[in-house]
Amino acid sequence: MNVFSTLVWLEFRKGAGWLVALLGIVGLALWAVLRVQDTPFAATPASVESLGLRFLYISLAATGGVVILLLSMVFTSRQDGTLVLLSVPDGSQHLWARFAYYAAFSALFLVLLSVVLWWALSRAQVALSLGAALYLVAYNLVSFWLPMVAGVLLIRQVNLSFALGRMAWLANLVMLVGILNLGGLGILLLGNIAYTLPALPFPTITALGFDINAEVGLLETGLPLELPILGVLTTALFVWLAGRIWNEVEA
Amino acid sequence: MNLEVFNPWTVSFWALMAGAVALLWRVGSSPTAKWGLVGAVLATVGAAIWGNLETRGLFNPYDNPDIQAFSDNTQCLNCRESESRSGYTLRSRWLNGEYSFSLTRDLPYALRYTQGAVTLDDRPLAVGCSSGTMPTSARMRFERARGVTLEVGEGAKC
Repeated sequence: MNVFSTLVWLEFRKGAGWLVALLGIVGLALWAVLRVQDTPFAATPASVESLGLRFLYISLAATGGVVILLLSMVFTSRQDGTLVLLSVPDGSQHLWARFAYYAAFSALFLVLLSVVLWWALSRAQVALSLGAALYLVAYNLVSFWLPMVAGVLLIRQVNLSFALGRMAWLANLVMLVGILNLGGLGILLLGNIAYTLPALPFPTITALGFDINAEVGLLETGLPLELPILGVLTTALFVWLAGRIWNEVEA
Repeated sequence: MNLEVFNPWTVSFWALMAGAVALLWRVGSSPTAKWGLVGAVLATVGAAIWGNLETRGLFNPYDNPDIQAFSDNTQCLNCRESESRSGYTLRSRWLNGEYSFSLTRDLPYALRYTQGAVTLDDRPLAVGCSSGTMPTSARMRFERARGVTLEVGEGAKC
């Protein structure tokens, strides 16, 4: 049997309960958004308020989803020792399988939540095609979300490598400072290279009768292509490092 | 180098981080993770120094005494201002806002942009390349101008 699919299946066995929790959050968000009363089409304080309420519910749902996802990643990686595989696969295979599972898991959550948000917004006179909404979600997924998932996998592996001396907390502290500064360096780098390549267009959004692109002039420059490229490179680097650490700890 | 980041507080923080990594070096079971922590310290020191160099403008130290440019309430993408012995150059992918210039004498300028609108002292400058003489006190307004290259100084022409 294929090693990779076996490992993804194992991740599913360990983390499926969390998937139910995430789907529950999407359902709750949908219910909360349905409770918001609609107001006639006009840029009145009442309609802006109902728009704000929808945003609030969806943001709460997204925050809850992120917390559950992180908890799931930490708790399932604790169970690593409880399963015995007949032949021990390479660490990078383990980590890529885990990454694939959590990437799919979180993409599903993000897409479902975004469809709820898109539908709620269309009821609140914010016109945006579903394709455009999913395009923005995909951009965010590749630029921020997947690097974060890979980063959590890496942090967890580094933790395990310092667990013997009970010094993982100190390693975490150093890593936290390092990652924040690495992010700062990334922003500096992005500021220097952004928009060198052709930019991706920003989709047309009309909110309460106003064309958002016309109101916010900066959007007409589009989304920089360098950000998702940097995201893919960071993700690959993090998963590769995590796989190396796995091999060194298990060896 | 005499940078602001080399103050006792920041340097002690770096030393504390390096000490933590030295302590962890004996405990860790993975060389990759250990070198990763060294990388974290280097990233911290590097980000501080790079940020300090950028804010101090130390990457481009030359200050032309004839030209002073001030921006007020501008939004811009990829703005690069540089000064050299021959003049001042402003490059931007997208620029919205106002620049005021204070020169010691009238100097030639050349402005290139591809989209949007630009005015010099309320006089519109056409899309493409336009050149002329900038007075000692001038205001240049950019309205969503794209692909901007502005040169001020001797030898600036289309």
